[in-house]
Amino acid sequence: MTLLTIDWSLIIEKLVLIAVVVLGSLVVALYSTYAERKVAAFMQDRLGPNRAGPFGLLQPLADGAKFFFKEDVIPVLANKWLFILGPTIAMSAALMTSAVVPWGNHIEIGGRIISLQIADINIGVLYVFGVVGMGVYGIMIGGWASNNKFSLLAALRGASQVISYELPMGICMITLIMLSGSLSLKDKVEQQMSSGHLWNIVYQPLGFVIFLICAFAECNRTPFDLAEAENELNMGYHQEYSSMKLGFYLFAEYINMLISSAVIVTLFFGGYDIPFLDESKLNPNTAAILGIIALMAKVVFFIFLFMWVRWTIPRFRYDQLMNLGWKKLLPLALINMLVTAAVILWLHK
Amino acid sequence: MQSLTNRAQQVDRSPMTVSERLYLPILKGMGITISHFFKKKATFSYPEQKRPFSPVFRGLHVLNRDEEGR
Repeated sequence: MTLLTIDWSLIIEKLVLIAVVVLGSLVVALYSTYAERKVAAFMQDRLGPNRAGPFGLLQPLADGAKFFFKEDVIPVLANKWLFILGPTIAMSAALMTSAVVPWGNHIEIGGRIISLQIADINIGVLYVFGVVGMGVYGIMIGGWASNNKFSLLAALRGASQVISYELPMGICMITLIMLSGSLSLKDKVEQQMSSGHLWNIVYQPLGFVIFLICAFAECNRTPFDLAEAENELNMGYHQEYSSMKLGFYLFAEYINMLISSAVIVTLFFGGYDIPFLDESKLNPNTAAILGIIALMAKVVFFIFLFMWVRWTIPRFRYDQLMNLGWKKLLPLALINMLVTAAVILWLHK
Repeated sequence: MQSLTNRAQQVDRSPMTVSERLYLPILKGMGITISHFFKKKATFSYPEQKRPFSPVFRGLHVLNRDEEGR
């Protein structure tokens, strides 16, 4: 007698999907480092890496290989287990977020409908928040365990920054939840795709700007890279790290960039929706593939935006950062939420 | 105090305007960086591509003596 029947094909399908998403985000992160260096170089009238392979395309592989061959130093006075735990948490938290992002609509193979989302949980948005919030533990634990004053200061800065900017971000998210009435990311995309509905950016332009700024802060990207301020804190929280542990920290940043771009696209730019095209008329498989391409194009644009901003503006001072977060973004986000709520009430009356 | 060069400029200490307080000049800066993105690069890819020498370039330090050996 079986009390619990296991749907093996479902498990295999999900495992394949997880492998593809994890490997895909690793490859994108790998080439984001290449893109970052190229974008930086082009904006500074240079050519950037162009020696390893055609156009320097093998550069990220060479960098990765270099990371592996470096000596792995753990300081004598560092707390060894926490020192190892720091980059592990940073990396796994970064990768875990991709589970709820709908990467495309469903595909059909042999009459079986496979959703291109690892888990369509009904608290998708909250899950993203929870996991992103965990990411800061990577910075905090790493900075504390290094037994270095600079790292500790950087970790404190990073933690307070992420906590401050999570508030306006959360309030923007509440506004979007009020619009769609659902916490699932898939529902949000489908709502934006349905006829008569525009992308959320049209309804929430201010919310989008606040969300974007907070996403920069959450990813610890310039202008909010206070946690790794090279010139004040000697590299910040990963000062004592070397070899692949450092690589994990740097890599986690790029994966975070990818995931937050994907979340921004999903929430505000219709996810895998192709503008001015009715996907339901197409063959579902073609529609899914076109949708993935559309999603990736939007995501690549946002990754480029992250880099563009990084190579344009300098870092905020610490008090400016806190002022912007608490005195400007938080009230703006609250006003935005109240106005949206009033409009929704008024339209429904 | 007497200035050393004629390039000295008075620092603008007027209070920030509304657009400056909203960080809008960042958009102008982003315009500048994106215009540089498409500009011609200053790099010479050295071993393949060499800079042309100027006609008076000598390259080697050589002590030249005149016909009387000076």
